[in-house]
Amino acid sequence: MSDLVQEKAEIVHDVLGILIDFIESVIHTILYVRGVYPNYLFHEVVSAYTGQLHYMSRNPTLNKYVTDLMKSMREWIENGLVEKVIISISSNQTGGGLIEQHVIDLELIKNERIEPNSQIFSPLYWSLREFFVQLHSLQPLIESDLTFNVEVEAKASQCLQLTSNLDWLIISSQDQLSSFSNSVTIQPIKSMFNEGLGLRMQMYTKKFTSE
Amino acid sequence: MDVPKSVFSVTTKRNRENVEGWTSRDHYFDVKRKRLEEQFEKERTLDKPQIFKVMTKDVRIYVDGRTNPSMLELKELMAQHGGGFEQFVGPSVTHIICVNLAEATLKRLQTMMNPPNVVNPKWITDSIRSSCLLSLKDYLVVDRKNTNRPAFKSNDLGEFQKNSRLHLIGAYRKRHDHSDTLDEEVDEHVRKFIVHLDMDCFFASVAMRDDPSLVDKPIAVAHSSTGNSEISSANYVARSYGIKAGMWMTTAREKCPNLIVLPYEMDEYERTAQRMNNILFEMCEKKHVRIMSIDEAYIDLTTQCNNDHRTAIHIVTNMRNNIREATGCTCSAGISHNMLLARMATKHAKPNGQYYLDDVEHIVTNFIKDQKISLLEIPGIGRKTFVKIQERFGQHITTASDLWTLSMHQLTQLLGSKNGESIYYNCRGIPTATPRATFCAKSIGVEMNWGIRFSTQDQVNVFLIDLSKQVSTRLKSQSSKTKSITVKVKARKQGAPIEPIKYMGHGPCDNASKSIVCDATDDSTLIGKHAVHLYQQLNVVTTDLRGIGIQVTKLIKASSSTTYATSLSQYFTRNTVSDVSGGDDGEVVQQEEQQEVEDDPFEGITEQEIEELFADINNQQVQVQRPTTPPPPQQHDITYSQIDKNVLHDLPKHIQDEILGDCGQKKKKPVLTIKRKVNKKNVDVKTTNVDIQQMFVKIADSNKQEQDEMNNIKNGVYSLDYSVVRQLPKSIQKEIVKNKVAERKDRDLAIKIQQQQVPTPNETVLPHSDTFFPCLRDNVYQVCFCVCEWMSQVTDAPDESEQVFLEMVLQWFQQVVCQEKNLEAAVKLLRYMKKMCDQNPSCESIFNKVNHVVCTNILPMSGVCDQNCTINIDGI
Repeated sequence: MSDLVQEKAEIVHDVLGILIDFIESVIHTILYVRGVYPNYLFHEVVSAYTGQLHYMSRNPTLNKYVTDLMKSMREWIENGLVEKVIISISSNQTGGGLIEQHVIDLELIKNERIEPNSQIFSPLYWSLREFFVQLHSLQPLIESDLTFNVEVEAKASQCLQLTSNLDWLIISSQDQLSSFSNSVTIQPIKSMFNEGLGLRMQMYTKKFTSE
Repeated sequence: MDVPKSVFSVTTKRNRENVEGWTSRDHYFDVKRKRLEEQFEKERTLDKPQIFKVMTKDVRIYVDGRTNPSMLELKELMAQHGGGFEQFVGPSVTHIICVNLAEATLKRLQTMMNPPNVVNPKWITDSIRSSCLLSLKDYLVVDRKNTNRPAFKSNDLGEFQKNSRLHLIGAYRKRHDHSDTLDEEVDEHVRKFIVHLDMDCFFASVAMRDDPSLVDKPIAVAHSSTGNSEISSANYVARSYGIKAGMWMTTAREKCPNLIVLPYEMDEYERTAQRMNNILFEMCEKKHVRIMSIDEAYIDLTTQCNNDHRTAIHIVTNMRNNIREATGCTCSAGISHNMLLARMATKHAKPNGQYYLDDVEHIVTNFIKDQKISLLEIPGIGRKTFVKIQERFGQHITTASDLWTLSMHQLTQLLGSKNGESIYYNCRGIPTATPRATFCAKSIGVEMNWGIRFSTQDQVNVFLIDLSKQVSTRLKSQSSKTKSITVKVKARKQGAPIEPIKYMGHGPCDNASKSIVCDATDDSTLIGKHAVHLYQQLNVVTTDLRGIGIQVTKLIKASSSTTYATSLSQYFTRNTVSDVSGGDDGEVVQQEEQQEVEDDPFEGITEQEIEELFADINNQQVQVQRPTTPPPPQQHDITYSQIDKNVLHDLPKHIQDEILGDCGQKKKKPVLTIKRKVNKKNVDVKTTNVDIQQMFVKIADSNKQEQDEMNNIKNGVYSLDYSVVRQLPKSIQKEIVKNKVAERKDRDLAIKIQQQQVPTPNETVLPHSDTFFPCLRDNVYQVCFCVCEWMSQVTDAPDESEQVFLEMVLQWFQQVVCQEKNLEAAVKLLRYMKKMCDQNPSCESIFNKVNHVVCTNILPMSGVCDQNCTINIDGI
């Protein structure tokens, strides 16, 4: 019996690893496809966890930044505190105005009914691949002088409990609103639901245009 | 301004011609060549004067393929040391620098008036090191004076063996042989239990395990994806196309154009095999396990079984499960009472199954008869012997049972006393030697029959010395000495083409051999000396040599010089060592057989044939497990039309392929079929409502129906016991499910007809919410269909049902967006609704209403957006 529990724990651990790796890959891919950094800074890699081919920056500073982000986020995701990971792209050309936000909406359902079998990850692989296929069909932005930041929507008080020295800035939703321009367009990218692993995830883009 | 002269001259020339851009392709290349020359000249003029110029301007090199040092380094070296460098092969090139030259390039060179020398890059580096132009003699890759064929260098033997799967398989057994410990005396009255374990399409399995996306695609493992490369392993998907191991790539490509060819991963195979072996050694004593090759082993379970075959079956089941867990690859096992029958049983158990074959005479004979065991599966019969038997006794002799009509005399007359006798017994399932006899190689041979193209005697001598080193190493590793050395050669048959169809293969050959008896030795120089001497006596034209090998026989243990090794059954030893029975004729048979065994005779038949052969038994034996089919990958929701072609072209090639591949793949999927049909039918949806509905129900349910029925049986819906049904043969199970599906269809149809007869208050076909909603979450297309159908009938006149339906739709949106976080599905429905507006302008208000509610209420409620927003329906 304890073997089964152990096995289930391992699966949850693996899913977490895949998720973290996936988010990291998505950040890099968005930076590439949206042209935030020049294309030559990126190269193709096949991720060890997700097995997906995606673009990865070659700049060590950027890589470290993204990796650190994921490291600090890991514990929160593990405890189901993170609801959304938002990759915001803004342009200095328009005075630092937000252009768009790519939102990864996550839900890790604590699933007691995980049945370990060898095929359990197979559907996940295909789902993740669809995300990348969709992401790769995005076009580069016309705006220049782009910059990005990553926001996390999470249950803040519990996050604070977990991490004492938070290296994240806490912003309220009001702060966000003030920077918004008037019109928002929602563009869904992909949704998935994996019952076996208790993972529900969707990705969409919010596009901001000033009227 | 200081302009290099050459640049200046070209510029003026271009000015003179007054050409902007390129006039033709030739011109383009002309300009490009000149530019490159300019560039090179510039580099050359820049270098430091103190460097001694080794090269002269007469040396102009062209680098072909990958070299060490690389092309760029060579270019730099040439610039530094005064030579010339060309980007294209042209008349000015004097030397082609390469390690290997492709056949096509070679042919092109042969047509040239003054073909350049083809030399190894070492020539340049060595020349520079020794500060003078060295003679080309030792560096030639192609000997121009002779035949223009690539000449082998001494280090090729190791290189060849590193890439040879046959060598891997053969050498693997040598390294893992624990046969010395398998000589335990067993009471003759105790029935032996022998298990033959074989991994299913091993090389392909390893590849599929490491890349799960390959599972449902036809894959093969071979050296090259084109031409006359030989397939060594193909998965079962590929086999369904008729692809077999040993097939040439050109043939395979004809059968299956989208065959995925993967390279060998020798290290990975070894690691996987090691894991398998570890399990075998864990579960059985080492002395009871005989590793036959990298993916095959015999295990003796006699001591563990207690004379009960059920115990054996149980142990083997566990063993196979463990192996699958540890290696990620499946294997098949045959259980019987001797090795011969165990191996026959394995053949039957494949893929991913096991089979117990009793050695009671009538069962064995029936098995051989029923299974139509091919002649080639009988130990001792290779392709050559097969042809021989058919020529003598008629073409109708194809299976083992056909041989029963022949007497032992007939067989021994044709095949020699020893061979004939063993085949006579083997075809009846009777092993000719006890499997527990002492195993010890009685001969060691190192042979190379591929890629042998020599031009001088010296090259052959060097090669023979290399071979003798290998022989000596192997002799020492089993601490033996040899008293007889044989050199075997294959020479091109007179009239045979110089280059056979198989690239670098040996083609039709005459075989010859010469032996010498000497004092016991394991010294490489002594063996090499003898070998060179023997080769000279054979008087073979060097250029016609197609295969060469050294074999040492009459082995004695280095410690006790008198004990001769006893022999195991031929069946056992022929995998790695061949027996010299003297005389050229016998030798030919031996060599042929050796090759055939390396190709695994079991792989000679297509999987389909095997399926047919063994179909009956599969259905009768519960012990045989069928492979579980991999779950189909999830449906993809992108169609070709949805892809932005401009973006697509900007993407790297493989991602393009992947995206396009995805589209192509999905065309086969039922979900997409529905979508396309809905799209198409939208045009005339008003006229064919009922038909669409029926068609729709059919398509949507066809896949699920069988599964549902199985579940129904499981849940006791019918008066059938699920466990009983599960135990039934597959075919009967299928039939039951089929019947149930048919029954359900009839029932559904009856209900539908009944419903149609009841007049509805208004003309609209309004699906009942109970029947409508449960399926909503399953398939967005079903919802789209229902909604579209309803919208197509909306009129401008006020309708009560409209409000009800709208509420239902909005409820669905809320559930999908807020609870299921599936914006994608929501947008899909909106898209369909918008499309319907184009056809039926009356429903535009409905669409606007829905869209408004979704954007202003549902999206903010779900937390997607905090304020009024719009939703992009038109796609990325």
